[in-house]
Amino acid sequence: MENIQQFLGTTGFANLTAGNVVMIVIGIAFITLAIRKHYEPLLLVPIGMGIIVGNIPLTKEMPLGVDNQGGIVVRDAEILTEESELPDGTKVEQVQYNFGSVLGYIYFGVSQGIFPPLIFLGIGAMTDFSTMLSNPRLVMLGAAAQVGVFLTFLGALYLGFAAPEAGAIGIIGGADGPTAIFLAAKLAPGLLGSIAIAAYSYMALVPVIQPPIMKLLTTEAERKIRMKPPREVSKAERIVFPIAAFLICTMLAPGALVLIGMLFFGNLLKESCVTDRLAQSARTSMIDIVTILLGFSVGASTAAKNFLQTESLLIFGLGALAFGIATAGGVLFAKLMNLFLTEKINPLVGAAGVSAVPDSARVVQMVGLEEDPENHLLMHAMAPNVAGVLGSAVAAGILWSALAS
Amino acid sequence: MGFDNITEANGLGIAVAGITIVFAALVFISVFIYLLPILLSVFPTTEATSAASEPGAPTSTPTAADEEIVAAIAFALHQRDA
Repeated sequence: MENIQQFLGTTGFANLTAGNVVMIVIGIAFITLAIRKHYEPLLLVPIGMGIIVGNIPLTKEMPLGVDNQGGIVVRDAEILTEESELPDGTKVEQVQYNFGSVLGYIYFGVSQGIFPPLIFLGIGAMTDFSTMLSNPRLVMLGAAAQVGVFLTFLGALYLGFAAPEAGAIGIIGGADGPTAIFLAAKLAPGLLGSIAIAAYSYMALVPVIQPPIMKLLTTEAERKIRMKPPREVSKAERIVFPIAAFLICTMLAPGALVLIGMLFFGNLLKESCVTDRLAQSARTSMIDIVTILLGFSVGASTAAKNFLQTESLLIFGLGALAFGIATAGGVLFAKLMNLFLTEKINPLVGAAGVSAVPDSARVVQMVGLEEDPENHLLMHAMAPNVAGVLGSAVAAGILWSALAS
Repeated sequence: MGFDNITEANGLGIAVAGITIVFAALVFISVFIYLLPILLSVFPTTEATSAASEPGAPTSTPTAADEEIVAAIAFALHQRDA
């Protein structure tokens, strides 16, 4: 009888909290959104399932979870005991995972910032920079949208977050999940779960968040502006670009080296035409495997006791603000550019500067078609879209350099 | 909390410097992209060579030297077999 009671005490039912139930419902909501609404299914299904897995209550004796439940502490690849202090006397506060927990080991790729650069390699191998190369003016829209990152950084500071945490929260405005995870892992590992979930949630909700802002800030006549078709780009331009752009970005912001380096390395594999096998692997099998591991383990890191905090709600609020400001920044900057240009830009394409490739470009196309069914903006929107990826990676590098100390 | 936190962390300075550097990076990239076709026309690239090496690209016509080499190889093979 005593054994049965002991066993019952270890079941999930005995240890389930209201917070766990809330998180499991959130996980199911993510999966439902992905399946019924097709909102970023490749991300929301792994994350949603991860959330459900991460909220099954565990006992300390079972090393199964991601977070530290009687586990060990790792810093700079050195395994330390939980009570350890670093040589300089500071308390250990870095990565914590369960010794012997498979999920903990997978999460190591997130907490140490290993997965995001690999995803960037895959993105680079599937990105065609031709539209950007054919219309360099549109690159500026990718920069303008990054204003959301830095204004949200100030907002987070105002709300009392420490500077590194504020930087990691601000990057949600870059609308780039891997970049947000990378920077959070470096600057604010304690907030990584909340930041990752906020970033991916808002990326999935691009079709809901962006259109009202785009319509609010533009007139009907502006939304109907037609742009010249992009010119043909030579093979030599496409090969030279990744090397030159890498040098430009990393010389200005060395902190962006890893993300930008992998992005352009992937693109060079694609454009060189002599490494087709590598490019093919990077943009298919590899990015798929890493996305599964990253999404699932990030989801599993959102145990209710860590995730359902006031801080998480603030992060979600600031994330929405960041996304809104970034969208508005891109649209308004396009309108500003139109004051000086003879060949006008449709300001809707400015909204694609928030990165979120390719969803924000698709949203631009969708909103443009609502006004003029024959005005296809997708190709034009891809230019600020890929420029936004560069801009958010550079912004992450700058914040990392400025706030790491 | 509040503006004091922004001031203490030098938040305004970091934000202004940050957005300036992002703009600078993308302005440089934009200018480079604009100049790239001009630079490539000044410094001819291996585009023709690479195009020829692509599958399905027309092969070059054999020159007189090529024909002499083929003839020499054929003669050597004939001598060996004889």
